[in-house]
Amino acid sequence: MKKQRNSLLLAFVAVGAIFIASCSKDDPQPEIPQEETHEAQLTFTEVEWQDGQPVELEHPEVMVVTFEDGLAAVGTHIHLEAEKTYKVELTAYDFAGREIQQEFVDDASVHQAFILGAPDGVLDYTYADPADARVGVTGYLHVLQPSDGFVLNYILRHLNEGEKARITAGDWNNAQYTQFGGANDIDLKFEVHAVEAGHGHDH
Amino acid sequence: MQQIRKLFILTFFLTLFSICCARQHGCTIKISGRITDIDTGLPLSGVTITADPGGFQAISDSHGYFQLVSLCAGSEYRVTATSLGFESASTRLTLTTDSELDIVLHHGTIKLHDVDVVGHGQSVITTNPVKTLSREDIAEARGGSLAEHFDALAGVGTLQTGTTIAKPVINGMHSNRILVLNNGIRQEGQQWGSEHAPEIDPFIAKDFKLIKGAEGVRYGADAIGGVIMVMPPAMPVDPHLSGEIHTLYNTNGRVGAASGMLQSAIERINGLSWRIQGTAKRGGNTRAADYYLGNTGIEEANVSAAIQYSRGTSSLEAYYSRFQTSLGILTSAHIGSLADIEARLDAGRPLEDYPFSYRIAAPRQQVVHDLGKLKWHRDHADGSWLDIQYGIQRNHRQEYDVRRGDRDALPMLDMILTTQTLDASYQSAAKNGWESEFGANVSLQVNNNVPGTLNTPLIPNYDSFSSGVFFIQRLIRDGYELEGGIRYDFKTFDAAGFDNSLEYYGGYRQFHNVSGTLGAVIPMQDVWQLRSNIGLAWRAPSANELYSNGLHHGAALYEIGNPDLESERSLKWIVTPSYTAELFSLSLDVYAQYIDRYIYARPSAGEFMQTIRGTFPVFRYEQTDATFWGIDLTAHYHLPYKLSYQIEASMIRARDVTNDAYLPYIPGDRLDHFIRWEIPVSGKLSASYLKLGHRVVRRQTRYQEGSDYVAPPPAYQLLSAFGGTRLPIGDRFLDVTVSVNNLLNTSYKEYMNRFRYFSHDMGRNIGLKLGYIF
Repeated sequence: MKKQRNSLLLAFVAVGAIFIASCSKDDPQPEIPQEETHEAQLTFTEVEWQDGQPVELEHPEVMVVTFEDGLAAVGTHIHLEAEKTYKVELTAYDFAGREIQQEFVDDASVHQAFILGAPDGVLDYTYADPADARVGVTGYLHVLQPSDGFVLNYILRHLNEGEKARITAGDWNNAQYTQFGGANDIDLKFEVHAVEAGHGHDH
Repeated sequence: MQQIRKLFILTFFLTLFSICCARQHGCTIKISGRITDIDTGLPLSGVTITADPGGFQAISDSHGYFQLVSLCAGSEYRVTATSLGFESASTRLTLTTDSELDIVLHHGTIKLHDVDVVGHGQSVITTNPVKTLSREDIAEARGGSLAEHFDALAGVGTLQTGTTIAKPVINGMHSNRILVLNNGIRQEGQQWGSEHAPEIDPFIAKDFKLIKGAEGVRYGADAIGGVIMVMPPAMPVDPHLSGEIHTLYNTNGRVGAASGMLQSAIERINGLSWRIQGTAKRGGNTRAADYYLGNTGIEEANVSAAIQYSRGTSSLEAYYSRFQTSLGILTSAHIGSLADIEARLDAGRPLEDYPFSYRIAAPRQQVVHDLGKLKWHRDHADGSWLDIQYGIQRNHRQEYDVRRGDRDALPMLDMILTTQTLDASYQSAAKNGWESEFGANVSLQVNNNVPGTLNTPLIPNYDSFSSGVFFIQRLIRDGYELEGGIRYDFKTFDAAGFDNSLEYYGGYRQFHNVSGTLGAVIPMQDVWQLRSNIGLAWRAPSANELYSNGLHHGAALYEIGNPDLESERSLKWIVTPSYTAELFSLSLDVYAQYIDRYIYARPSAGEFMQTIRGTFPVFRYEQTDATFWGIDLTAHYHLPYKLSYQIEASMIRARDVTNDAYLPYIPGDRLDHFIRWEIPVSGKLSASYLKLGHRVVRRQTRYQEGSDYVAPPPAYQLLSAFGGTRLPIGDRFLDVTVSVNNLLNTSYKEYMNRFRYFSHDMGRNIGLKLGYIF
């Protein structure tokens, strides 16, 4: 009987220990997701292209397309005139509305933009990132000829280590961009009409 | 495919032929008995009893009882009982009829080296089939993960995430549907995740057991599919210092590992003994048949320590272990969109080429698992015993992904799971064949996300309280054993978190269920035995099934939990006819399982999640009713010239009966067979053998169109080779084992590897393993 009492006593001590040592969960803290890009803008500014160099215009046409969760407003489209050049700038915002596109340029060895969707021969592109980073956050889009409307897809890719070395300047519109391993940081789609020179946005 | 079908048919007929041949021998004598301690008179469990010639073996159960069967009349046998810390006892018997043999063991004053568990003795009392890894199986698997140790058994496979993460799968069940007992404590990591492997160092253990049935009564919730038991050896009673040193090198991944163990009893304090153990392991990028798999390195540093004080009929044991790992996740699996997956599927292999490297970069996991245990055991003179066991575990899991800026060093997921368990069980002594076991369990679990990840936690903070009581009654007669049990469990789950819109979510849930078991063991004609068990088990939904809400990187899908999920209930019936004769043994596990409210993630038709990273299909956790049935076959046949042939085969069929659909991630039919030659080496070498293995895995054709990105990969075949010997070094031994997996460097993909979209499985791997026991 005494032995059984000892056993029970030990059991109670153990049960007591478990409760003393236990505790409940912490109050959760709201963790603001800071990894994702929250909003993005693509700004198209008309420039003069002379001898392979851009010349800013005094009163350029500026078109801004804004994206929330990767989507532009319904019906959004822009007209790009043939034989003109547009400076294209990505502006990306974090959870607090701060611009973060410089992060992509600073980390150029693992970032690359791809501009997809245009019919062959309609667009050409020249990189203009700071310090020759060749990312595609800033560049010049040359409209070579008019075409039917198309959905332009701007993808900014976070590449796996070593993949950037396989990408050449000519890959800016490589539809097989998924061959360069990585994940998309930004994936934007909107409609573009490449129109005859002088027609502008006249409808 | 035609060839594989022919191979199955050939195997079937070979098995039938073997049964016919074996039955002609008619060796039907058995020896029953009990092992006791000379000093205390108490029964000794885990003692290995062998009878030679013939290599018959048994292991004494928790009451000290053992039984050797299928011995031949008129033959003289040498019966030997060995156990660590005791002097071996031997006797010679010439048998004419069934005999009883009680053996009394004396405490050893000489050093005993190791206890070789080389059989499949059933030392766990249950009417479910129990499989034990042999010493040879363990030596061949050494250096691999816990799941890879059990992969050799029929009906057991692995769920892999690349080459670095593997979880055991028992009859199609894994994660929260199987229970892992680490030195008697329920292993509690974040096991809900398919990419979360059990945090256990296999070098710790000498005894690896697997129970295939639903053992919900004895072990509580979650033991729906089966139980894996990983046990260190018994504590030493010999005051001399003893131990083991194991080293290994694997060519694939250039993996090096070393593990050492020291132990002794303390002479000045009678009954006090100690053990320390540690393992270090490092490996680099593994290699498929034709290319390196980038970022698949692994590092491990594990330690454990135990101390035990035994006095009279009581013993108190304290145990601590730390498992610490850092492992890389295949770089090519870092994808972000359906287009990426499609590109990789088209390529059929990684698009990147990486050299060999030991460097581990993001994506990667870092896990530290601490386990502490305090156990009090008391034996009573009548054979009954009482166990009270307290366990505490702390699992700190950090997962790192490729992030913006310089945040790769900041974990995306940082969780600390603390679990405390208290188990008490009492088993009565047998009276007129009746014996009872009853017990109670209490568990408290707290999960906290560590703030500062700058990312929405995948699961919320929660605390959970579980309690259960059980009662098992057993009737043991000469001609049969019956077992019945019942259990009641109660569980609370209180969760709180903020989702990615910073909205509060969570709530309090209660679950309670009754589990039951009913089983029988019936020996027939001495060489046959029929084992059958029906088990009713359950599990509560896990945190991710209730509350996950986020993008699953690596799978390019968006998973959404369901806070209204109810608990799963399972009824599993398993019947195991087995045959054991001098030359032939056979075990067939036939099972059927019905799971009410089976939880799994289904693609939500037409639903997509739009994010700035792209558009992703939505998978929602739902419940359905599911059926599983299958057959596992193990057969072993001794051929002339010290050759033997062994088969391990399994097939499983599973269906979502509510939606009349196939279930995902069910293993394909598998056959492993081996031819083994025990090399008759004269001189100093002993236990020398060579073994050739062949694995055939059929394509999983029972796959639901649209439930995955791609149909299951084709069937494949692999060859393997193993060899080993024991070299004497002074009065000690050095065990040498060589293993060659995927001998022909075959390029293949396994359906149960979640990274099969991105890469092939591992190519040839040659391992050299040395074990010095002193």
